[in-house]
Amino acid sequence: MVPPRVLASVPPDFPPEKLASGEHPSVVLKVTVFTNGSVGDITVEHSAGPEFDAAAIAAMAKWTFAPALRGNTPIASRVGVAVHFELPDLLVHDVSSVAGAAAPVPHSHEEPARDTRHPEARAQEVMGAKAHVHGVMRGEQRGVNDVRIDGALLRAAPAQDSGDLLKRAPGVVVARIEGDAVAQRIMLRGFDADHGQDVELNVDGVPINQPSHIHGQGYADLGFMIPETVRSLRLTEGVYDPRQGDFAVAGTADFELGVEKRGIQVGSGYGSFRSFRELALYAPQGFGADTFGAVTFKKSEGFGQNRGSTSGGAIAQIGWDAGPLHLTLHGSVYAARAATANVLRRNDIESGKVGFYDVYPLATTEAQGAATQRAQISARARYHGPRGENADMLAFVVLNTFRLQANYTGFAETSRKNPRWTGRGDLIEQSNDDRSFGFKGRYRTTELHPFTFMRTFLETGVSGRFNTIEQKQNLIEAPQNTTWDQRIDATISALDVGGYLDLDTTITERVHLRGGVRADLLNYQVDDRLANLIPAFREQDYIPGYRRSAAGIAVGPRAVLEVHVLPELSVIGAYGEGYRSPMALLLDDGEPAPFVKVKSGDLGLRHVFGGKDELELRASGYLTRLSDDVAFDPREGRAEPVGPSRRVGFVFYGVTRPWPWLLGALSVTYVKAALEKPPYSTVEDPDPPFKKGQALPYIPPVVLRADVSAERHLFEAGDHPIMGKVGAGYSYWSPRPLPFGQRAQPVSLIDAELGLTYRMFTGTLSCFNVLDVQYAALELTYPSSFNPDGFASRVPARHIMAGSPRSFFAMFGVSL
Amino acid sequence: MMPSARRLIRDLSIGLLPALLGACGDTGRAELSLPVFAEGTKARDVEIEGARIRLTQAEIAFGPLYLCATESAESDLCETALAELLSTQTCDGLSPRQQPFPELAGTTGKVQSGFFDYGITWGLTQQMPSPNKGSVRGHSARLRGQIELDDGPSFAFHADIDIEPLSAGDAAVNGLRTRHDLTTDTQSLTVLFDPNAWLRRIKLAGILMLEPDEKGEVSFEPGSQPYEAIVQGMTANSPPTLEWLGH
Repeated sequence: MVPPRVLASVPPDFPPEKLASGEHPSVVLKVTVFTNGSVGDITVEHSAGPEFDAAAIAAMAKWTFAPALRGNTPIASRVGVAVHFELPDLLVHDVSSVAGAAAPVPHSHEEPARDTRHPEARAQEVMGAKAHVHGVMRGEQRGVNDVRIDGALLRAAPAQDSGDLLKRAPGVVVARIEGDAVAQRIMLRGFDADHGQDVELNVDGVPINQPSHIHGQGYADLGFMIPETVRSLRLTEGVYDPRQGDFAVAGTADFELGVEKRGIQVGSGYGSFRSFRELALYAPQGFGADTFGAVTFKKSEGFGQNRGSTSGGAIAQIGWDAGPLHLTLHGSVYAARAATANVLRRNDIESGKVGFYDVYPLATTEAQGAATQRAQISARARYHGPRGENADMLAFVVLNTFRLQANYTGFAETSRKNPRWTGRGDLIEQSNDDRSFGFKGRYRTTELHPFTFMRTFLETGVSGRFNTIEQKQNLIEAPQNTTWDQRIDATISALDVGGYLDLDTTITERVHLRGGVRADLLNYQVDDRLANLIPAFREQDYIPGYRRSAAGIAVGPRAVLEVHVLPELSVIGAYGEGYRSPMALLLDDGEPAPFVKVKSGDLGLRHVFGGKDELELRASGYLTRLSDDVAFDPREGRAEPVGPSRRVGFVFYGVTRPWPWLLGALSVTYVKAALEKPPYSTVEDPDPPFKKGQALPYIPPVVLRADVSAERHLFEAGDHPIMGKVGAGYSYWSPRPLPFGQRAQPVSLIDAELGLTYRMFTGTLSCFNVLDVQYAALELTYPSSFNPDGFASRVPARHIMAGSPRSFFAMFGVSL
Repeated sequence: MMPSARRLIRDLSIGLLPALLGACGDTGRAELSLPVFAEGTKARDVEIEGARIRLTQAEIAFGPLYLCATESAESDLCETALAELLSTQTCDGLSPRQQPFPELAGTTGKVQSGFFDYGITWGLTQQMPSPNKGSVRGHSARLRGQIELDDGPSFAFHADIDIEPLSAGDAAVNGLRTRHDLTTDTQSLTVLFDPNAWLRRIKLAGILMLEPDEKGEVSFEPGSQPYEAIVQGMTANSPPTLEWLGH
């Protein structure tokens, strides 16, 4: 890949109000260089104050480039450019100078030596020395559906929390169903990822999925991110990048934190169900987007009975340059507590026994809720070498606590400790305390030429992660909160050692091959203190408890072949093998291969229309095989294995920016998800039925998402413009197949937002579920008995968790 | 929601339906419900050593009933049942005509066993067993009949039978054998009772130990040999059988 070159540079006007300050700073900008050489999407990477920033942006908008080339094909790229300000100097005010000067104001500084080089050469030097050329740090196109969603698209439609931002990515269904203290449920291209088991989630490189979490493998709560601090999202569908590690079964979502609008922002909002939110955000001038501090508090009574929540979080992050290094320190804390109504039997709703948004009027269900705490410290160093080589080193410490009380089955449990204790309510109490330490490191070489016709970059990476997890699961009798059974009491140590090799190769001018191999060693030690439990009526002839260990290595190749059929049209094929780590508590001693393996293939097209990427389209088909799928088991409150599965699907994704003020995106994902073999036999069901092509339940075959936003100057009020914004997002989930030949209703949701900005004031009115659709955000089918006075039902019945009805939220903000 | 908006959503859903139908495959089982009937057996003389017994009345409370995929059903091994009859109904055990019961609700699958109560249930949330609505005046069964001794005299008897589960969550009768591939083509289930068979293990000596009342009628009380023999017959030796109609 050939980076873009400056053809014409325009010097910035020195801000007159800063003339007396004596400052002569640099502003580092990130710009997108389009295929026609013009620039757009200019953001401040390192600020020098609003006046300098504004002047630098204004100048940069007039620069023209020779676009980056892949082979002979011009491609859009994103580069960093440093714009340096010198105090006005009559001798250095050449309009072609990169270091600009405008007003011929006398000054007392020494005259700098005049640079007589060609302006393009000077600009190139600036770019080479100062710019962070992220666009060429690494070939990111790892599959047809490897998309980067920028801040504008992330904020096109309103979001209730950071998890909502994932909806903008193609094929994603995300919903926070169990209250603000339980992680979002995610589905991605036919994978019911539950709380994250099939989607690898990273925030600035730090892995968010928690291994062997008691409420679900790969549990990942995105609530700690403050939406205003999310700068971009990269979604890689499939497992085609050697960087992708544990849980990258359906794909990987990488969030980047950053605040581009510098200064102080304060916001206060109030909305339906007595919800309020306070936000304070400080992004100091003179620093890059990755330097900011933010704090938020939220409280709501919830949209129905037993749904109140309180949460709050703070993030502080600082980034600075130290020679060729860019260093970032991050600290964040988050806590949430929320009640939850959890499940309701559909037949109880239909018969009027309980309202759609209500909770069963029982002590054991009214005690349902969750609480979570999270703290993270991380440090990152990124190196940009003079010849394109680069490296990245990340270290992190993350502490998570989680506690859940939920009753999925009513009154169906009997104490295993003392079988005479029965019928006290199946209020499961789960707790999970996770301490995670880890690092990631990678190095990418400068361009290598193994053959005369071939250019390649070699990247090697390593990662390590050590988790110590304390987990418990009990049955609690409400309201007195006495423990009437213990189901899990364990300590787990989990170690993940990963390494990969990645080649980014240009074979011919039109053919690019990226890929390599990744290997991970997983090692577990489990102290299962309740294993071999002796019931109370039996004489004790041994001591309960079982300590065990297991280890295994997962190796998987990944490769992406991209062929540029036309300058604007690429054909992309990809194949990859990945894995998901096991639930450590389910491992036996010495189990050799404790992995769920995934094999995935994609083939599709990517087409870019227009010189400024006015329209980008992607279309692909994919096939994924999973060696052992899982389905939610309400009795255990977590997913359990069901057997191998296959998914065949199609993804369409389009983004358009026809004018600077208008943005639209549309994605449609179609998938047929099926079991490949009969489900595992159990004591209860020794011969489970199976038909070829038997559908996996709960997965919507069609997921559609459309986002649109328009933001432009409306009119002048006084001497100041009033900016208006309107945005909307539409989500559609087709009927989800349910067990026993049933289908859930389709879901169509529209969220919309209106915003006005005048001077430093911003007002936003958001409406979620505009059409007030009453819908089940989750449907599950299993036996339950929520009537303590009736016969216990043992036949599977449909249960729902209600999605939120229409709600409004108004936010007023001041920017200083 | 505005009607026009609802129509829009509905139309959009219908428009996408063809694509959806291709992907909305079968998930393995199908829900079903089917009619249940009880059928008794005409009264006949039951010969025991030294006497003949003939029932004149057999009111039987039956249910709830759970049908399972396991070989040997009991509540612990059948937390998820294939089908269930969640009520108690009284039938005439001496009537060979079909007596309608509430419907059986469940899913398709291979039924191999079942467990049930005779009108008295000990649910997980109950401190002790209690008769269900639909029981025979608070009992599992009421039997009346005539005993005719070989040496001449005859007298009437009655018995109010209570069959209670042994522990909370357990059923009165576990391990009921039945094999049927429950499909959507299955048309009905008939529960066949033969209360005459419950009398076979009664001993004359046990009857003669009982004091007749002022009308000369004998009551089989719990603990007596005839009572326990009937309980044995109802739960172990001659429990009801299940007859399926259709595949």
